[in-house]
Amino acid sequence: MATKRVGDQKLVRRLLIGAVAIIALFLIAAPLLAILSYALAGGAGRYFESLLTEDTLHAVKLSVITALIAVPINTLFGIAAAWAIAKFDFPGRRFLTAIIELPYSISPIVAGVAYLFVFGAQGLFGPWLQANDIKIMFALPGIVLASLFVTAPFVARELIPLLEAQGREREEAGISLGASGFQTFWRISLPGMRWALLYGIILCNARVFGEFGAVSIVSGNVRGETNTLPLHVELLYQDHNSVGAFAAASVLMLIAVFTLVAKFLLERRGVRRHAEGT
Amino acid sequence: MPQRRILPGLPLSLGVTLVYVTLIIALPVAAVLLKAMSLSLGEFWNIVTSPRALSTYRITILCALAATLFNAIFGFAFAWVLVRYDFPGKRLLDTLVDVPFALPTAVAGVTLTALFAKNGWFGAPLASIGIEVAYTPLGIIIAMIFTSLPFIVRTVQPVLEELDPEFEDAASCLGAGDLDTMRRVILPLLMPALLAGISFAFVRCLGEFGAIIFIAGNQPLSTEITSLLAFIRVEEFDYPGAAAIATVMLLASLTILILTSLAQSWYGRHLTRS
Amino acid sequence: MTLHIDSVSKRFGQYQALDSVSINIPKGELVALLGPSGSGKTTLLRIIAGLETPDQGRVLFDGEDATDVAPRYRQIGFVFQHYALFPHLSVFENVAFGLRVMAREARPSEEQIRERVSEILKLVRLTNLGERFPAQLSGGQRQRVALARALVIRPRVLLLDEPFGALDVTVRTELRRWLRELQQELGLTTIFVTHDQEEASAICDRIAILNEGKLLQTGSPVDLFTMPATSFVAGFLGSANILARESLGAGAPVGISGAKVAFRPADGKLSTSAAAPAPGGHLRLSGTIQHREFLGSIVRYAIARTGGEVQIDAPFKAGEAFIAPGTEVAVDIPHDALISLNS
Repeated sequence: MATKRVGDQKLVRRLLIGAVAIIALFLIAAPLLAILSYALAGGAGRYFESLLTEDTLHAVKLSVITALIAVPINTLFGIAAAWAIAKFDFPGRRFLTAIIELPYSISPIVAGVAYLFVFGAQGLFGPWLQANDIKIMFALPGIVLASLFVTAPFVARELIPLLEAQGREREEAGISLGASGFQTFWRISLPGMRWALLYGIILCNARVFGEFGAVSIVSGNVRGETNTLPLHVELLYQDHNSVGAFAAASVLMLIAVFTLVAKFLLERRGVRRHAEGT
Repeated sequence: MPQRRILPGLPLSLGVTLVYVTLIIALPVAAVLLKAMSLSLGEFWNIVTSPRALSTYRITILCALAATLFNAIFGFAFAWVLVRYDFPGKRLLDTLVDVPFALPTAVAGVTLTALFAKNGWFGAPLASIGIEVAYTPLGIIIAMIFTSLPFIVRTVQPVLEELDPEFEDAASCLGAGDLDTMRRVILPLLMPALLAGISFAFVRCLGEFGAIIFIAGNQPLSTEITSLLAFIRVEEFDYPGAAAIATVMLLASLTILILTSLAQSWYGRHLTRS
Repeated sequence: MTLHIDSVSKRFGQYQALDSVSINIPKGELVALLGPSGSGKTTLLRIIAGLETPDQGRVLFDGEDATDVAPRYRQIGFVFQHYALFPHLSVFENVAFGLRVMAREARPSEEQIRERVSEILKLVRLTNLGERFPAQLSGGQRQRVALARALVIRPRVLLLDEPFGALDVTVRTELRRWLRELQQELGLTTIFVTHDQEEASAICDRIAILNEGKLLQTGSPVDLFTMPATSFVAGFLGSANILARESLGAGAPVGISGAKVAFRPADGKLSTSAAAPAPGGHLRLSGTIQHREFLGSIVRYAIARTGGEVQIDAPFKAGEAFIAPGTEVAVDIPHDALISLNS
C-alpha cells in the first residue's frame, strides 16, 4: 500500500536508518573484522602456525567431541519434550515448559557452580563418585554435562510452537490410515518438523561450541587437556599471545558465520526466526 | 484429557522429558540451593552482604540497567528500521543482529577488549578525547550491550511486523499526528513484547560472564561483576561462598522472570477475549 | 458536505485500481460503492479519506480541493472493515481518542470529552459498555464502537468499508437498518463500500457500480435495477438473462436498440403448450428444460435453447407438479420487460 505510515517522512527514515547502520557497524561488524585483522596481524604463515599448535588442535578436538555428544542428546530430548508438550495436554504442562526454558535465564556461572555441587568432590554425588573412582568434574563428562544444561532448551524451543501450530490432524490422519505409532512419527511428524529441527540443532551446536562460563568452572581449565576452544582463546589471550588467541577465535567465528548463514537460509524456507530465549 | 488418546508416544516422550529435566536442569539448580541452605542464615547473610559482594551487585545492576536502557532504545529503533523501511543492505543488517548471539561470548570479550584498549581501533581515538572504555564500567556496559542486543530486536520485530496498518490509518483519520500515534497506539501495542525483550536482556546482562571479564578490569570493589565473584570463590575453593552468591544470582533471575510474566499478563489482560 | 470526485485514477504497479472515476455526492446522501472484489471500491474510499493519494484527479470537499490534505486534517469519519479498534484502550477511550489528540487550542476539556463521549455512546446504544475492552465485545457491539469513534469528531463525511461484512446475517440486517435511520437523523453525507447488492439496494439513496477500476453506472437502486446500462450491471444487480440481440432472430421487437438484450428470470412466462402462438406484445423463446432448482417460493428452471441458455423463475404453488427435464417449453416475455444493453 502506498499509505503514509508513522515514520515514513524522508528525514526520519534517513536519520533512523543511518543511526542504526552506524551503530551496528561499530558495535557488531567491527568486532568481526577485528578478529580477522588481529589473527592475521603476523601474516598468514604465523596464523596457520599458531592455529596448528598442539594445544589449539587439542582444544578444537575437545570442542568437537563435546558437540558430537551434547548436540545429539539435546536433539533427542528436544524432540521428546516438544512431542509431549505440544501434542498432549497434561497437568503441569506449562510449568514443565518454564523449567525447560530456565537455562536461558540462568547465568552460565551459576550453571557451572550448580554442576560442581552435584558432581564435585564436595557435591551431592561427590563422595560416591570418588569411592567408585569415577571422574566427572574437571574432565570431559563435566564439560558435556554443563553444555547439556545451557543448551537444553534450544531444540525444544524451536519445535514446541511449530508442533502446536500443526495440531494433531496429520498424525490422526496417519493413524486412521493404519500406520503404526512409530510409522506415523517417522513418516509424517518428523518430515513436517525437519527444518525447524535443523534450525534448533544449528543454534544448539553454536552454543555448545561457544559456551564459556559454565565450562570454565567444570573443566578445571587444564591446558592441553580440558580446554575447550573458547577456554583456549582465553588462555592464549592471558598469555599475551594475541595472534594465537585470535587465530583460535577465528575458528569460532567461522562456526558463528556458518550458523548465521544456515539460519538465514532456513528462515528463507519459512522457519520462524527468533533469538535464543525470546 | 478425558478422551482416549489417539496419538502414540506420550508415556515415552513425557517420561524421557521428565527424567532429563530432573537430572540435567532441576537437580543442579536444587544442588545450589541445598549447598546454600547448609549455611546458617547468619553465615549466608554475611557472605551475600559483604562489602565486596554488595559492590559487585551495584556495578552489575547499574551497568545492566544502562546497557538495557540503551538497547531498549537502540533495539527498538533497529527493529523499526528492519520492519518499516526498505533500503540496500537491509538483509545484511538483519543478519548482523544475530552476530552477538552466534559469536561465543569469550570471543566477543577478547575482541571488544582489543578494540577498546588504549591502542585499539576505537580505544585510541577515544583515549585522545579522554574517554577510557577498557577496564572501566563503560567497558562492562559495552560488553553487555553487545551480548543482549539481539533479544530486544528479535522480540519487538515480529510484533511490529504483525501490527495492522489499519491502527495507524484509524489514528490518522481521527486526527492524530505521528507522535500521538506512536505514543498512544503503537508503543502501547508493542509494550508487552518490548517488556519481555527488556526483561530478558536485563537478566542476560546480570548473568553475563565471558563477554565482560576481559574488558571489565575486575578490580574488587570497583569493576568486579557478581558472576566473576562467584567464579573467584570457586577458584579459591570457597564453595559455601560460591553457593551463596550463586543463590543470590539464581533468585534474582527467577524473581525477574516471575515479575515479567505477571506484568505481561496484567498488561495483556484486556487484549484477549475474556 | 458535498463531495466531488473528479477523474481520479490510481495504479498499484501493473494493476490499475481506479481508472478516471468521477462522482458527485450531494449533502446528506447515503451512497454505496458496489462492486466485486478488486473493483477498486475500497481504493476509492481510501482516496476520499486521504489514506491513499490518487495518481491523477482531484477530491473536492464542498468545492475545495482536498487532494493533498493529510487524513488527520480532513475531519472524516472512517469505519474500517475490521473496525481497527485499539485493543489496549477501553470503549470509552477508543471513542475519546479523536478528541484527546486534537491540537491543544481546539481540544475539549476533560469534562467536555466525557460529555461528548457519553452522548455518542448513548446514540449508538452502548452507554453501559464504556469500561469494556474491544476483546470483550460482540461483533455488532464492536461495529457500533467503531461508528461512535468515527462520529465523535463530528465528521463532515462518514466512510464505511464493508461495515457489515464481518457480522452474521441477523445482526447485519438489523444494524444496516439502524445505520440508515441514524444517518438520516444526523443528515450526514455517507459513503459505504460493499460487494453485497442486496445490502446496497436496501438502504442507499444511490449506488455507484464499479468494476475493474471503472465506474460503470450510478443511480437509485430502482433505476439501476430497471435500467441497467451494461450486461455487467444487469447481472450484478439481481439475476438477468442476457442474450445477443441477433440471437433473437426475427422475433426481436422494434424498440430494442443495444447490442444485447436482458430480462429478469421472473419476467418470463413458461408454457408447455408450445403449439399455441405467442400472445401479442411478447417475445417468444423456445427450448428444453435442462435443470430445475427448488428455491422455496419459486422454482428456477434452466432452459436450453439455440442461442444460449435462459433461466426462468416460476412461482411455486404447493401441490403443483414440477416440469420434468427434457420437456419442450415456450417462454413468453412481454416487450416492456426487455432491457436493451450497450455492452
